[in-house]
Formats: sequence, C-alpha cells, structure tokens
Amino acid sequence: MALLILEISQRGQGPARVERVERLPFTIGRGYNNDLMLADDTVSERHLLLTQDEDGRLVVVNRSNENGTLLGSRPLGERPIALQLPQSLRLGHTQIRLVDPQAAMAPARKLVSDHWLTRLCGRLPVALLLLAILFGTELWFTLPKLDNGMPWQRWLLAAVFTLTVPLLLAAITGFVSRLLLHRWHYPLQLSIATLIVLALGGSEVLLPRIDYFLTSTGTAELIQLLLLALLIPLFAAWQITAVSAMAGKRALIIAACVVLPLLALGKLKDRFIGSEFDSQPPLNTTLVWPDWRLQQTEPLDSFLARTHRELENGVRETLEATTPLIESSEEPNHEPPN
Amino acid sequence: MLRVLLLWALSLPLLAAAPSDNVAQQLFAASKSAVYRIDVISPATGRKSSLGTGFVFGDSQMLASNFHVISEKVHNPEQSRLEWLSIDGRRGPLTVVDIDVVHDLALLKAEQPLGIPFTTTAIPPKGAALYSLGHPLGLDLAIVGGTANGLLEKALFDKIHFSGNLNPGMSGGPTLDANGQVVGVNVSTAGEAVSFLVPARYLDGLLARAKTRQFAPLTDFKLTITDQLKAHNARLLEEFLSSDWLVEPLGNARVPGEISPRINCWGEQQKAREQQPYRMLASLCRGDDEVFISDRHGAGLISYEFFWIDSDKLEGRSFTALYDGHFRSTFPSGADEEDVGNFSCSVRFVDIGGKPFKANVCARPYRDYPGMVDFMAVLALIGQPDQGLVMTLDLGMVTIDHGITLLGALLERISWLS
Repeated sequence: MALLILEISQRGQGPARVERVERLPFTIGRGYNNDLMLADDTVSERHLLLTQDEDGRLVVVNRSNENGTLLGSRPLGERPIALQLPQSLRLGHTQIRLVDPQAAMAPARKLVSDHWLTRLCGRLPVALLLLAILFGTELWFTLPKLDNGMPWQRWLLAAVFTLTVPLLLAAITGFVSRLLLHRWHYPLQLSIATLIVLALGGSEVLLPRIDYFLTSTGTAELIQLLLLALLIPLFAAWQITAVSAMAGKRALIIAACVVLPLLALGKLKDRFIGSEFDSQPPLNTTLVWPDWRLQQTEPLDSFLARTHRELENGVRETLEATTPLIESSEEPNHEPPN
Repeated sequence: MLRVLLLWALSLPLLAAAPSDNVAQQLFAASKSAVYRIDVISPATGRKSSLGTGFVFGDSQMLASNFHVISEKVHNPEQSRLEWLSIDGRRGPLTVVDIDVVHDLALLKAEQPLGIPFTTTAIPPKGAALYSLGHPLGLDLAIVGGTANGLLEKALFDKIHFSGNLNPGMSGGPTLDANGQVVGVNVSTAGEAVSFLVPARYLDGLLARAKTRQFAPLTDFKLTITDQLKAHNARLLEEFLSSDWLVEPLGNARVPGEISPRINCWGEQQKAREQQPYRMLASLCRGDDEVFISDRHGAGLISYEFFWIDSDKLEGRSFTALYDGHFRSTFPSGADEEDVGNFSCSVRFVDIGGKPFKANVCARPYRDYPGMVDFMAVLALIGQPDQGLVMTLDLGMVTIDHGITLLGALLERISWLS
C-alpha cells in the first residue's frame, strides 16, 4: 500500500502523470539521484523533500533557493511544514497534487454531455426533423413571393439553398469536434446549426412585428439587444459543450464573458461614435397581416396635435444634442440702429 | 407639310429681327455703362469663384442683382468678397445691402457712383419684344433679344416667361423693353429659349425697404431669410387653404389633386400583369420651382403623392408583403450636416374617413434658420387584404406648424368611393 499518491502535471503537457510514494523520506528534483526526477528546467537539482516529523506527520521541506516552492499560493521556507491531504505544490512550471491513496475517485467523465437536450438532438431522426421544419418555414414565409409572380422552381430552389447553411455550419463544428473529441457527432452539430438558423429566421420575422406594434425604434432595438444577449451566449455555450469536453456551466460563463462585453462594446460605439448625419429619416414602415392595430387608431385632430408635439420635442432635442445653444434668437429686431 | 413648317420656322427670326435691329443697338449703347459684371472673389486665392451681372438701380451707387449670384458672400462673409467690373475694365468693392430671397433679388452698394439708375415698368403684353443684358458665361457684355410671354401660371413664385436665350453669367442682368425700362431681372432658364425673369415690381419693393434705412446694410441675413421664407410660406398656405381643391378618384379613394393653380399634377398607371399581379395608380403633384438658398439646398419644395395599389389575385399575407415594399419615401434635398440635424419621426395610427392608416411624420431642423425644418410624411392605409393607399408629403424649409396644417388639410380631403 502506497503512503501517498502524486499527480504531476506540467503546463501544456497533456494529462497528469501519477506516481506512488512507497516510503519516506522522498526527494524530488531535476537531479538524477532524486526519488522523483522532473525534466523541468525551472525545477532545482534538489528541490523538495517529503518526510515525517517526530509525531509521524507528513511534512514538506523546500530545498530550492532558485525558484522555490509554492504551497497553494504561499512560498515555502526551509522550515518543515506539516501537510493536510489533498494538497497542491508548485515547483517551477510543475504542479504536484498530493492525494491520500484511500481518497474516493471522481466518476468517469462522460464522452458527450448527457443533458437530455443534447442526447435528443444527437439523434439523426431529430436532426433531419429539424431540417425539415426549417425547409417548411422557409417555404411558408416565402409563399407571398410565389403569389407575386416568382416561378415555383425558383421558390423551391431558394428554400433548398437555405438548407445548405446548417449543413455546412455543422460540417465545420463537426470538424472541430473531430479534432477535440475524436468524433464528428454530426447529427448533434446539424441539430444545433439548424436551431441557430431557425432562431435567426425567427428573429427576422419577430423583430419587424415588435417594431410594428411598439412603433418605437428604441424599444424594438432594446428587445432585439436583450434577445441577442440571451440567445447568443446560450447557443455559443451549447456549441462549446458539443465540440469539447467542457462542462455546461463553465461553457456558459465563458460564452457570456465573451459575447456580452462585445455586445456592450458595439452598443457603446453606436452611442458615442454612431451619431452620424443621415440625410434620410428613420421611417417605421413595417406592415403586417393580419393587422391587430386597427382598433387603436386615433382621430385626425388628436393625431395632428400629438404629432405636432412629438416633432417639436424631437427637433428641439436634435438641436440641443448637436449644437451648443444658439444665443438668444428671440430678439425680433434685426434692423440696424439708424 | 414638313417643308412648309420648316420655311415658316426659318423665316420667323428674319421677320422678327428686321425692325428690332436698331432698337437693340440703341439700347445697348445707352445701357452699357450702367450694367456691370459682379465677381465673387475668394480672398484665399484672390480669384473669382463665380460671377453674374448687376445694373445700377435706385441710386447711382446701388446695383441690383440676383441673390443666388452673391449668396456665397451672405453665407460665408469672411470667405468671399464682391467686386463690380465695368466694361472698360474698372473695378471696385461691393457690399450687400438687402435681399429678397424668395424672389432671388439682392441690392448691392458700391463706394462710388456707377451711372444713371434704370427705371422699372409693368409687365408688357405677350409678344412684346424684350432685350436682355448680361455677361453670358462671363464673356463681354451682350444683348439678347426675345419676347415677353406673361407671368407663369404654374409657379410658386411670380415669374415672367421670357422667350430668349439666357445663359449662366447673365443672372442679375436687366431685361428691358424697347424704351429701355426694366421689365424684369434675369434669373433662370429651363432649356432652349425658355427663360425666366423676376418681375420688376419686386425690385421696387426691395428698394423701398432699403431706402427707409438709407441703404444701410442688413445686420442679420439669416434672420432676414427666415422671416422672408416664413412670410412667403404663410401667404402660400393661406392661398392653398382658401382655394377650391380638386379632389379626384384614385382607385377606391378620392384624393386631393391640384390644390392651387401653382401646383402641377401628373398621373401614372401600371396595369396588372402575370409577373406583377396588382394594379398601381399614382397621382404625383408638386410645385415646379424652389427658392435658391445655397448651392446645397433650396426652400419651398412642395410635393405630395398618392399611390393606389390593389389586386384581385392576391390576398392577405401576399398582398401585404408586396404593399410593404411600396411604403417607402426618400426626402429629396442636398442639405448636409452643416445645414440640418437628423430627422426625428413620430409614428402613429390614424383614422382617415373611417379607415386606419399607419403614419410616419418626420422633421429635421435647420441650424441657421430658427424654426425652419424639412418636413416629411409617409402614410399607408392598413388592414385591407387586397388594397392599399400610400401618401407622401415633402416640404422643404417650412415651420412644423405649416407642415402639420397642410398635412391635416390633405388628409381631411381623402374620402372613399365604396
């Protein structure tokens, strides 16, 4: 029975190597007469000693005065220090984790995330079903074009072309998965890609409707931003877990940390740099069918009065935002004194 | 038949030229010393950046010309100066005393007497011979013959139709009758031998105003321009609102056509075809001229258009998808960020004659002309599965009040056939 287990890992060197410590004292260093030899040029020739004190407790003694040893984040001196297992030591670039041989093992990591959604989407029939839904919605939403004189062959062909987007996207993410997980997982990649395309198409249909019902560009923009801030990290995290072994929570945090600042940055840029001159007005010209706004029309008089007020406010804000206040143009007298 | 026409056409100038030959010679000899070239000179280069013509008027030190000839001096007083140039090569500085921006007139003052002032006369009957003086393309002073053709009917501002060839550089020159009196001031041209003059009575008005100040120059030109535009707009609006508007059927709607004789309307029609299974009828009305303000933009733009679209083949979703594409408008103006701020819009749903419309009404302010905006409205009939009506209104340099009043008056007159 080993006294101690050492998990030795070096940055960028793949999974940890495991060593048994059968007897104490046990020396660690770069030199050839150590019990554990480390091929790491930041480790001293005689770097570390593991031994027992008079009470039989496990202690560690740093013998390196070059790069030294860190216990957690604390540098070790020459004085022996008692250890509680498990414990991490850092010697130069090398990390050594000291573990009790009787410690319980973590369960084996699943090859693929076992979330029910991932398992469901990983099935080929589901992927094909999603693809069929995409094809169907594309046909439905471009149906007016057929009515308005587009030949049916072109209409059908356009919908078929839409399908190539998720197919290609899935090929790319599948290839990444092949590199990282040694498996293509193509049905899963296809499902995710199709759902992304569906979400994009959905927002294309949804946003003009929001725009139409709210008749306010600002509100529609805000909703659009919130949708993006929600959907992009979710899909990105899902995609990360599907091509790598990363845990879902961690993937979500990484995705959010990348996407949200980017969105915020884009918004800030628009706010501070994007106020450029536009020779045309920001018209709200979306029309929808069927139309539910019919009951909310106002009579001409109140429409004119409220429009008048809104325009005066808008024009005043435009002037205030772009020019320093014009000095008192109220004075009616512009005739010369004589 | 063709030969007869040709012969007739050839003989006409000969007949017309014979009696007026002497008159033109005499007029030129009598007037040449009171007509000057006006150069706009940029101090940075010391060279002229544009030129026009002016003539002694009202006082021996005063020249009359067009506002558009000297507008550069009004907009950028530091970056340009004005000089008169006589036909014998003398030069001297000029200052702007007063302007009438609506009728494109300016009064300039020299530092020395420049000759005997011209006098004005009333508009002669159609067919009367007229003689226009000026520096065409900056060349030597020339005299151009032509005929008077009365006041234009389809114009937002009174203009004399002069059948003679005016060229750039002649702007601001006088057009005289056979007695050497000023009938009008050369202002613009619309093609071969179709030219326009500002009636001389507006020059008299401008002179009277400047005289009350002993020809002291105006201090705030931008405010003067604003006031003159506002007064002119108010007059036009009153005239529009008090005249009987022609209301004409367009599809299932009845929409305003020519709201004044000053407005010109056109119609367009696209029939339904296999590739385009809907019918579109358009009524396009506009004022045919603009007030010159600067090289970038004018004022007085007025245009309102109605588009009727219907289809007996399409319905609901298909029709709306197509109709959506026609619910568009662009504002025609070259004004840039130096002149105006961005548009802001009000989006509302309004009931017109019992039917719902979605309305975008937008305005953008002019920076230098307090209270003036570019006004634009786009409305579309909604909620109909197979028919639509789009209306646009564009107004250049008006007050918001003016825009809303005219918009309201136009909308009030829309009605439905069934």
